[in-house]
Amino acid sequence: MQAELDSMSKKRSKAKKAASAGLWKTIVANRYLYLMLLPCLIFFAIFSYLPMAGLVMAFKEFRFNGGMFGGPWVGMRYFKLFFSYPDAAQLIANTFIVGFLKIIVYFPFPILLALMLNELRTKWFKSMTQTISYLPYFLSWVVVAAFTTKVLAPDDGIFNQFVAALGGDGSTFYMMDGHYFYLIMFLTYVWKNIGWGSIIYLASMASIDPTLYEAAEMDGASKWRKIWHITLPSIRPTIAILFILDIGSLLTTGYEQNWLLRTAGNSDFSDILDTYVLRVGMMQGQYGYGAAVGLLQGLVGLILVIVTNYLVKRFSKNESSLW
Amino acid sequence: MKKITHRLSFTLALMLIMVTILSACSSDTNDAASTVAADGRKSGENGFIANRDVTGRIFLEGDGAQLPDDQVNNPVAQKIKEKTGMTMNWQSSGAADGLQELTVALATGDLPDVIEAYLDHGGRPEMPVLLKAAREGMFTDLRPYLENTKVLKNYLDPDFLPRDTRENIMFRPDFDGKVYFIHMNIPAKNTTDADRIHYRGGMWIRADIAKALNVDPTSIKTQDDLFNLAMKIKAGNFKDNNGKPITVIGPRKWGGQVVSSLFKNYDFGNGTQFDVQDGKVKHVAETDYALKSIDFVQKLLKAGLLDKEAFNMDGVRAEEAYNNGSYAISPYMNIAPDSLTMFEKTKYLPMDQMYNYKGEDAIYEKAKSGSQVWAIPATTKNPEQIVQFADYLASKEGKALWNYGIEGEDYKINDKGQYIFTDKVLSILNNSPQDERNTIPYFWGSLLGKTDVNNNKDFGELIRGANSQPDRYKLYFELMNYGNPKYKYWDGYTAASYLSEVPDIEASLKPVLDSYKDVLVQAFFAKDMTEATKILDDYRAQLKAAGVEQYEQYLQQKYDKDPSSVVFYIDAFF
Repeated sequence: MQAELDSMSKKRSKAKKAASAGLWKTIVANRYLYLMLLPCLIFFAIFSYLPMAGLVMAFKEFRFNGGMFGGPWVGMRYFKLFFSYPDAAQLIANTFIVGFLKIIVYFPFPILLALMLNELRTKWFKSMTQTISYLPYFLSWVVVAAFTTKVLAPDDGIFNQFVAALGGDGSTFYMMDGHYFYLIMFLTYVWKNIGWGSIIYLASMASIDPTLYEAAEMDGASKWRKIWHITLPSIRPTIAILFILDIGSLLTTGYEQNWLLRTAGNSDFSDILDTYVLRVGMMQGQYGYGAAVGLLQGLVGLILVIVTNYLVKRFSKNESSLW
Repeated sequence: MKKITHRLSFTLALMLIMVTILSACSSDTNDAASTVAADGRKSGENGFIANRDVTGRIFLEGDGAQLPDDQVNNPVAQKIKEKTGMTMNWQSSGAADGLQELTVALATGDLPDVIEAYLDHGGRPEMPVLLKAAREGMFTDLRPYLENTKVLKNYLDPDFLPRDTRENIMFRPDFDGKVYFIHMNIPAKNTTDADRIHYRGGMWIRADIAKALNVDPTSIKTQDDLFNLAMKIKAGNFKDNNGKPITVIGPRKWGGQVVSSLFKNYDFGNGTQFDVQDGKVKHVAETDYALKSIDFVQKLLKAGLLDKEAFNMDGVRAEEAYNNGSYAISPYMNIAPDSLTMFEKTKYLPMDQMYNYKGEDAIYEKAKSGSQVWAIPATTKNPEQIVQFADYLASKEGKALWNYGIEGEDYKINDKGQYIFTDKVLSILNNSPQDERNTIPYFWGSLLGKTDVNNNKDFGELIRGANSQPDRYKLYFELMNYGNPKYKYWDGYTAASYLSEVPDIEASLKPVLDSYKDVLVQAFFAKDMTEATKILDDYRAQLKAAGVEQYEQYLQQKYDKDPSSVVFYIDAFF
């Protein structure tokens, strides 16, 4: 019996050795590819994994002289403090709404643009439209927010003048009225990001086998049919993976846009967890408190990624999920 | 064996690389420097301190532009180096938010030899961060070094400092006799009212419009007066410098913000949000004054008398509009030198003499003004050298150098003892004022040197350059004294400063107090007073939930024990 066990464990360790030798062999054989991967791994190690150690600050009192780990433990104090903050519920609700708009509602827009660009046959017009559509991506939010404010200014802003010319009131202060905030935020977000977001879908469409279209054409398929039955199914894995990756940041969609478009009048709608962390955590030096709120965002993001991945895996029959 | 040697040499090489990298990363700014001057003077002899390059960092808002291009090789810095052996290099990122920068620098320990932060009184938002850093041992105790100074030792005299500086900033009881900050811009002993600059922070009106309507700005005392005047201005169809119709009331000159000077009759708890009503400490939102101010602003907005962007316009647009005379009334401006340049093009007059909520015809000012603080991080070596250097810059000789430049070349002293700029400097001031900093590094020197201030006594003029450019400064003094306002002075521990004494309440209450201005703006733009009242009611509920009653009780106890221990009404614009 013992001899059998020994021989089994020997076999297992041999197999392990062989596997590890195989892995090393693969790495050596593909060393240049792995070398190219190295900067990416270093990037994630430094900027994503290493900072995770800082999460400990959510449970410690931050001291200037003690660094991240030097202060005394405070348990769940910061979490209790956050949930006792009168605006906490509103901040969370706003964050969900902004995340929903930027991730769920926005999601089909770049796909639609990519589909439209893909159907263009005039080459110069296609490249020109593509370039123009993704140029705004390179503008800073500071610039976008400044001209949005100017365009929407009451009375003398271009938009209000246009409304007045059509016989409207022309004195609406859009930036100060919270009810317009999400619309302004969403439209500027789409305008700035749609072109850039469509590139990856266009690349994915370029790799579709043209014979599929030819065959469909011979069968008499219309343009719509080709889009529906060839293009969209072919880019489905890309769509699914991008969706899973995006959904993780539902609660962390960035502070810049909301911070810059915020006015006192729309603050009930524009204040989100990201801007709150910046204002209280960074600007007032309450790093522990900021880290606690950041940790909550991260946890919700992680749960959303896991759930979405599970759903995608189920519905796509293991074709398009992350793991 | 070969393998072991190979590994050993590899490990050694790795260690060598690490040591090289680490030594390259370490700062050399704190190294003690040689204590013998080139001419043989030893430390302490005839003004020599040490051969040392000091690095400082400014945590003010966007002030780096006022530093000389070359902080070490300009003639004044060279002269100071000759005398003291020291050079001073201030770093500034020009960031818009000095407090955020300061917090990050303290958290990361990225601190130079000396730091300078904004802090005009102990109720400022910088105070809790600076206090926390001091309590956690981030700064050097400066007290032992003050004894050996000539000018800075005045700080040890209880009568020299304003009460707020003494009790709240520098000699706090919880510091156990240690001193971590030097509060700057403290007036010298025996200064009188004549040695005082009044900045007239408050409402201003375009001079030509006041004249055309035959209105005396000093006669505007009530909110009704202001409203009627605004209506008259609107009916007058006045134009700006480009011939376009004006808006009656605009934003602050530096950009949109709520300013209580616009509704001064209702400015309960000005600068602190708290005050005493019928013997009870209250937050402004708990009084009728909040609703009255909202009602007034709504009335202005509905009548089209106030620019809708008055509370959020960016500074560049606002300043451009004032340069063009596009607003008849500014809710807040003052006569800082940059405003003077603007007033030369479009003259405005102070209209800051409305009654305050107490019905007083008075302008409040701080009894003795302090402005910035400097501190030496605990990591700095030989801090006494920096204290000595600051003491030299604060001496009359030091002040003359950074205020007026090199004698004979940049200024001359006339027979009345007045310092007069030479034609060379006057030409710079008239033709390219932005280059003045390279000849006379005023801002650079003021950071450590502007204290124990009495310009009249030292240089024969209240404001630098007033005797050299009398015509220009005639306008300045005319505006400064316009309408002979009555002043009241405050000194002490403000209601806002006490918040950091009760950290449990501070954590929940501060964010709610900070949002008061936003709440006001929402109420200003509410569709009617019913909606505005609801907004205010919601805010009151938030205040209550955040512990405002406990804080009021805390202030009440202090106040009942000694009414002078809490200052509620200060000269802040809100």
